[in-house]
Amino acid sequence: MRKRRQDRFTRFLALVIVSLLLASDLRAEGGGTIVGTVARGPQRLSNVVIHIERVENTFHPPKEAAIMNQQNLTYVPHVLPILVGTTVDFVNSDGLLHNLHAYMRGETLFNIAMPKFLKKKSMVLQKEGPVLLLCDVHREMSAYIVVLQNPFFALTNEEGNFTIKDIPPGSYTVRAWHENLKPQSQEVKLMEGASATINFKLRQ
Amino acid sequence: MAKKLYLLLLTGIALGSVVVTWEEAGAIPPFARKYQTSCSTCHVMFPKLNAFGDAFRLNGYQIPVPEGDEPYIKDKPLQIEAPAWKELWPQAIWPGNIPGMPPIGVRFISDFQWTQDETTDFSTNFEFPHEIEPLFGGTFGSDLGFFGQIEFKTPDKVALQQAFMKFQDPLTNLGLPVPERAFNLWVGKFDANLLPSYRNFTRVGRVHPLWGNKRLSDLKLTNPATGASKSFNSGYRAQDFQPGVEVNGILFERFGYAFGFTQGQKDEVTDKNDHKDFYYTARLKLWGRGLDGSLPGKELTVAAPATGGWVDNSLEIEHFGYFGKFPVQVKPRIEDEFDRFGVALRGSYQNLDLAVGYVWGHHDRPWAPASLEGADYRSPFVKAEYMFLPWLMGLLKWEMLEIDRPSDLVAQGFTRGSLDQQRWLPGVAFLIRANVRLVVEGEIFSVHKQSEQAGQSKPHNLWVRLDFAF
Repeated sequence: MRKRRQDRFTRFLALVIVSLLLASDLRAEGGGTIVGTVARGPQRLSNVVIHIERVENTFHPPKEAAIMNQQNLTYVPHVLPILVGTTVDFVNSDGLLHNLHAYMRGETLFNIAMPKFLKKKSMVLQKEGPVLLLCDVHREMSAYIVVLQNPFFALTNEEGNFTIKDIPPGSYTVRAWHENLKPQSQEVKLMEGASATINFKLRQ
Repeated sequence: MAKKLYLLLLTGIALGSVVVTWEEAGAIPPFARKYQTSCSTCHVMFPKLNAFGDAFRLNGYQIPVPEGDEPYIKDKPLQIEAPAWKELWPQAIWPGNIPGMPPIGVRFISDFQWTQDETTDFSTNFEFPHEIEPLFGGTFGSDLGFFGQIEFKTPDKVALQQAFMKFQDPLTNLGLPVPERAFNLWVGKFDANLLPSYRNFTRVGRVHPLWGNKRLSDLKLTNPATGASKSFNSGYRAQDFQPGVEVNGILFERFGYAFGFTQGQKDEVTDKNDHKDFYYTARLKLWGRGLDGSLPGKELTVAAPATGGWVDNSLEIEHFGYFGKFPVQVKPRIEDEFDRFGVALRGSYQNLDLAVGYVWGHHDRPWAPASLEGADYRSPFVKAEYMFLPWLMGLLKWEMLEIDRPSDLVAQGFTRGSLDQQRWLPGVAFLIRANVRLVVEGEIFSVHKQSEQAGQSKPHNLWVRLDFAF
């Protein structure tokens, strides 16, 4: 009898822990949405990372790895926003030697050779901030992995549009990051299930 | 009567040649090609810049907008290295780019000249072409501009007019707390632009200003009794492009400054001496578009308006000082120390652009070794331009030049010779296309001492200039 009670308690405790974990890991069901556009003068801008600066919670990285591909002497994608702790699979799809020189705030984060026979190298990025990827062999190649504190981010498409979904209600600072332009922030207050529109005009 | 008919015939031929050639001039020069925009985005009537074009020039040949001019570039440049390498400077080379298309243009200038000679007869001249100028200009990234101009006149006369680089905001780019556009560096052979409202990029007429154009070394004093002559040996000419280094910038949107050192003009390639000429300029623009391109209370637009792109209701005050030494004799070495100062006031209101100015200076011994007397230099001017239509401009200028003659040489009988002149320059300019221009300009002297002292008629001129670029 006592053992059964202990088992029930253990199961209940496990359920509570799993529920809490799930609750912290999942985006808010019925949460708010932020949509908008990013422009520079008359030009709509793609590859701009729009993200909520800080959300007080713990977020767990996705199990699936993000992919950064060295393909046709370019990095694909050019900008990759990820949640901190996400595993990134670096892939060399070219039949030639590359290297993977990653910098954070001007300091080397890692520098590894990507010979043509090494098709994949996985790394977990644990520090928040933009990581610059260069290839010392091909100086025209560059990309950014933007490591973020929370999963509420989006990358603008070719038309400069973005959508961030399932955001818990609250007041946030939304930031636009572009590799060459000055970052910009805007404040937004989001009610449950509501939608807000934010447009950015970036400048040099 | 026969002369008039002859003149009419020649004018007809000149105009006819315009009709024949304009159809061939349908392409565009390098900047227009890069941005795929009209000449009138930057020019009132080329080469005269409008306020936006002047801001473009001062911004290192980039569209002067806060967001940077990249969105406006249609001819995408070739990136030499990924722009991200600049994050690693000084451990890496600062990245740049080169123009996608070769940034080359060509300008053809043809002149028809009618001149009254010393006997009141007239002569005519077809200078077809007067000169052909390959032009190049562009940027190597967002902070480095370049410009060049080569002049072909005759097969044996080729001159590199200008070729220089503009380092835009070098200190700001290095992270120093210097406001944008406040400190730029130009290096090469360029025009010092001593009075911007009366220089090449604001000149529509064929004739250069007296204060810039007259090389004083053309001045000779002759003794009518003996035929002997003495020369003004100091050869500075303000109009000429010179090798040099210039620092310039814009402060508070409306104040422009520049100072620089130039080679001096004895020999532009190997003028190895202990002295380089020095100059400074200052300009203050009130109302209208700022020197940085800004429009008070309005968002900047890049597209040229269909009409009225020249309107910039403003008042501008300009000043310069130039200090040089010119070696008038090599052995033993005698140098003429000279200076020039200038002030101009330019007012633009609706279709009218009016400038009045005065340039003066002093040479301490330009006649050496024949005379060690100094000479003062004075040249006032007035200029008015009126846009009747977007393709039709009226011009009227009045100019005067006076320079002292040495009393000791005059006392010795060297009485004939003077550069003192006063002239009127009425004209009309047509844009046949945005890149094809026809100018008719008269040069009417009310004073021309050189001719008068020789007992000749004043050499009045009429010019018809056809000018196109692509």
